[in-house]
Amino acid sequence: MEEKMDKAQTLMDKVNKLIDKLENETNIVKRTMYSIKAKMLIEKLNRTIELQEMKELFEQNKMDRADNLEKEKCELRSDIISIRTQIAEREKELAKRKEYDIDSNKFMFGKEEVEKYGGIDEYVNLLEGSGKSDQKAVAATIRDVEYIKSEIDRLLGEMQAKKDELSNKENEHKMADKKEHKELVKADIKNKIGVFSRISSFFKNVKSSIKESIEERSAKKIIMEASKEKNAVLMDEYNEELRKSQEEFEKEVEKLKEERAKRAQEITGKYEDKMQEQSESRDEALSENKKMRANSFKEELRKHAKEGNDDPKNGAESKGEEEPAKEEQEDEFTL
Amino acid sequence: MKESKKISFEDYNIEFTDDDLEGVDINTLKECKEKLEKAIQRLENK
Repeated sequence: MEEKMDKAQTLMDKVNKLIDKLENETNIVKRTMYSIKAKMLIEKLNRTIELQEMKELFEQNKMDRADNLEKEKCELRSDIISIRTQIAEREKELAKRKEYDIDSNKFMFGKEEVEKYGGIDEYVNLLEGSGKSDQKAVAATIRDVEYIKSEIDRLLGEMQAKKDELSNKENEHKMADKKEHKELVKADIKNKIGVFSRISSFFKNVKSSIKESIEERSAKKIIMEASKEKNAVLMDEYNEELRKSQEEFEKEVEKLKEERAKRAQEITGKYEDKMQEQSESRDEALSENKKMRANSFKEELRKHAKEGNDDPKNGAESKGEEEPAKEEQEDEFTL
Repeated sequence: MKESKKISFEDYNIEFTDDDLEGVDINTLKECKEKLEKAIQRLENK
């Protein structure tokens, strides 16, 4: 009793400690996991309660059955005793009759004689029909004995039936106890294994889910890393391609610049030549024109000089004054 | 099978086995159940 009370107190302390820890739990994952476990514990407690109620009911039924059986057994035993008493009384009555031997359970007259007359009934009828009072008395005694004997047989039958009933009742009681105990054991096993196996399978599922999740995450990580590596390689390739393109582009630009410069030079040279030619031809034309004008002027001068030489008064003065004019004309053309 | 015969709250160093519940009177079991149910309800309402 004391041990039971200690166990109850220990259980209550554990439950209180668990509730306290759960209510102060800050880690939400742990709190969720342990809440699930606590629900399992509630289910376990529920099943244990149900099992206990079942056990109590079983014990009650067993006691009721035992009580009923005991009552029935008492009644049957009483009936049997009563029948036994009745049998004993009948046997006493038989014993009173000299014609009947109680020990051998046989009539004291010859069996062969009875059989000769076709059995006991026929024999009694014969005795009664004889008209003799002593034979009639024997016949009456025989009938009484027959009746008492049949009564004893009936009572013996009843007693056997009661005994059988008693035995059956005991067997039925044992069977009912056994059946109910079997159910109780089943429920007990279900209670012990059922909840725990559910808990076990639940946490196995949780574990496998977590494992799968971890595997999936690590697979993703590997893929991501591979992808990153791949991306890095691609980026390098891209940069390399870009650098090459840039270089090629710059080369092309340089080429185009050179080409442009070359063409510009060609175009410039071409026009310079033309301009030179034009300039030269213009200079030539100018020089020619100058020469022509100088010649014409010289011719004019010569003409005037000739005319002056024909007039001697104006000869010297004209000659002296005309010379600077000639120079001026030349200078003018030179310019 | 042995491992499954208990409900463990490892980090709290608390575990419940068949033996803990066996032989405990029905009223204590009912009281424990009610306390836990109320605590779970409070946690779910947090």
